[in-house]
Amino acid sequence: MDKEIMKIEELKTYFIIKKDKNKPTYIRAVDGVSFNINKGDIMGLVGESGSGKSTIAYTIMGMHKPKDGKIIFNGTNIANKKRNFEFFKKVQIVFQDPGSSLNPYQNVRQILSLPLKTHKIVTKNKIEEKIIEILETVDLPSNIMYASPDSIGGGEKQLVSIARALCSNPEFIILDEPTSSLDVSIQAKIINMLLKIQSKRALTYLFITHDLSLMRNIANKVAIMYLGKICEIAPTEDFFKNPLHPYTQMLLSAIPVMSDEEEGLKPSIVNFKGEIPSPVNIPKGCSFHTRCNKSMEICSQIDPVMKTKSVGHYVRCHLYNSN
Amino acid sequence: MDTTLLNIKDLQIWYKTYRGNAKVVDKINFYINKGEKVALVGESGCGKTTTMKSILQILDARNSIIPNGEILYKGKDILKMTYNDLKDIRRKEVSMISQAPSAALNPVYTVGEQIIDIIKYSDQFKKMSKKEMKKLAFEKIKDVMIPDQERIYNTYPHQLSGGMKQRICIAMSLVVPKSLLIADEPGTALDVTIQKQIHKLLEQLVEEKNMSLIMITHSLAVAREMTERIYVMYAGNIVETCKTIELFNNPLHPYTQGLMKCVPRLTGGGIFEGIYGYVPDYINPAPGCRFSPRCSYAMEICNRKKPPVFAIDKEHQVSCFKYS
Repeated sequence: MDKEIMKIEELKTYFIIKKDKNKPTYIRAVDGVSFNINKGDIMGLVGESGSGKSTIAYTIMGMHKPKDGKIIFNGTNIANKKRNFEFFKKVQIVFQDPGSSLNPYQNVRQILSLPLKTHKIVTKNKIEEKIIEILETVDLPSNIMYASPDSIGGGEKQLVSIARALCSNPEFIILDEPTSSLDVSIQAKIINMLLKIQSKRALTYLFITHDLSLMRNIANKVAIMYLGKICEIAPTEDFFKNPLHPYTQMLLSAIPVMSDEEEGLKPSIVNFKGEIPSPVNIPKGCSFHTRCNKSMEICSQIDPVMKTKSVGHYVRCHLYNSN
Repeated sequence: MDTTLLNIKDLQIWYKTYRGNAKVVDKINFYINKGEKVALVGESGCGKTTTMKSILQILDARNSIIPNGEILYKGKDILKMTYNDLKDIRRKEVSMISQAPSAALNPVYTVGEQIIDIIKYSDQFKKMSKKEMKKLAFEKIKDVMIPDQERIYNTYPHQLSGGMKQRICIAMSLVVPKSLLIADEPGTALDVTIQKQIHKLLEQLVEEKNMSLIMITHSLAVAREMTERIYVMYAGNIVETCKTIELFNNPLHPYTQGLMKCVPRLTGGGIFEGIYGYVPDYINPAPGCRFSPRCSYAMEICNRKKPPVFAIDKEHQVSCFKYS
């Protein structure tokens, strides 16, 4: 049975950059996003830099206050509540840059023992045992315990971050580009390990990345973000077989690939233009119309709404009508 | 007829550290012909950028040593050149585009001023009036597909996006017609759609101006799309070299094979386990093949002896005992 673990409804996160009582200027980082994640799923959130992927993650974790919308976790709306220990025990996050998310003054043992102590996972005299066990699950040798983060490699650092997230036996982990700063051989290793842990512990992942070909191999469901809005959301198979939104097609055709077979899967678009506009002045109408090669007159006037194309496949574009 | 533009022979580069010398580049051979597009592929820390920096002699002289080797540019050894000759190479012959465009541009001067500087000191446009210089700068900015030159000319680097900055860097490297362009991961810091634009632009400019291109990248897929010939580097050694198409059809070195399996495919099918182990220590490298500790085909001889280069056919060379 598909059980919903996280549901996000019309979430909006704005940052004020100019305080003016009558007319404040906002950066609309996340601007009306809705999606839901079922238990045991891996949901991929893909977008270019500046599209608001990480802001969603941080808003879920309570680092930013949402302006509007609901974040429903296990049936309760937590959008405007202060997150408690109970929440952090169940939801954990792995950050993009392991170099800056691990305390350089602590060694690995200290880093991993903090969540064990705060969530009272084990008694004090069993911490060492538990740490060795956790390090084993992420394929790290136990002698790494007394190393400081800057004396180990980038891949190992990221593994320590993942180990830290696993300490409290969470149900839901947000992975914010966990492998984007690593080499492919190490990326492959970490991804495989993450998948193994996921199936073993029945975890749910929200996987944030900019790499669509990585998504193809791990996610059940993919959402594409552009300027704070989701433009297409679909089950992975369907998504790569039949990409609908012009932005999705543009993203897919820009990926450098390894074989002719893959080349055949890419939609052929010759025209790449423009860059992602600043989220301060989001274009009127559909935010993508300035770069879109299928843009019509209506696109610059009216912002399209989400339409259902088939089961689970939603697209937000004037080109398509609801089925 | 192809003629060799640059030929690197048995080049070694060491970095001084307090624990001893790190043997970062270990006797590599590399050549590029006129008008050719060549890729140098390897993971981070394998010595790609170090090798390329040595061509322009922009390695930090205080902590790098070149104990052995030759870098022949049009037949002349760059390592033995006088300062003035070297300056000419940098000004008229070889350009480099760096990985991080934001670090390559000076934040306190406008884009225009920086381009004018290059024109002024390039030795090619002597006795040019200020007006003409500005006109030339506009032309160069236009070359990289930036529409409003006037505005860009007067902006500071921080006001531009990453893609724009990289375009400016390309424009700057092409102010003087050069014969060799070294592109050091020009798209890595950018989004895929912007990366595609930059790669297209580079390809087009290189073809138009009949230059040779060395593309440094960590992505095999980028190398496949951009280049004709490929060098695969691992831990300071070139492990395999051949035509790009050949490499993708028939990868021979265990490292190349492993690397290819690691790349996530659009066709799906999961991800291979990754390559076991980590990059070796450069300060006290093992006497044998540097990949042997991670290699699943490792034989007894691999730990003892460094593998020589075996030619499979005319173009395809691999440095592995499996093919002896």
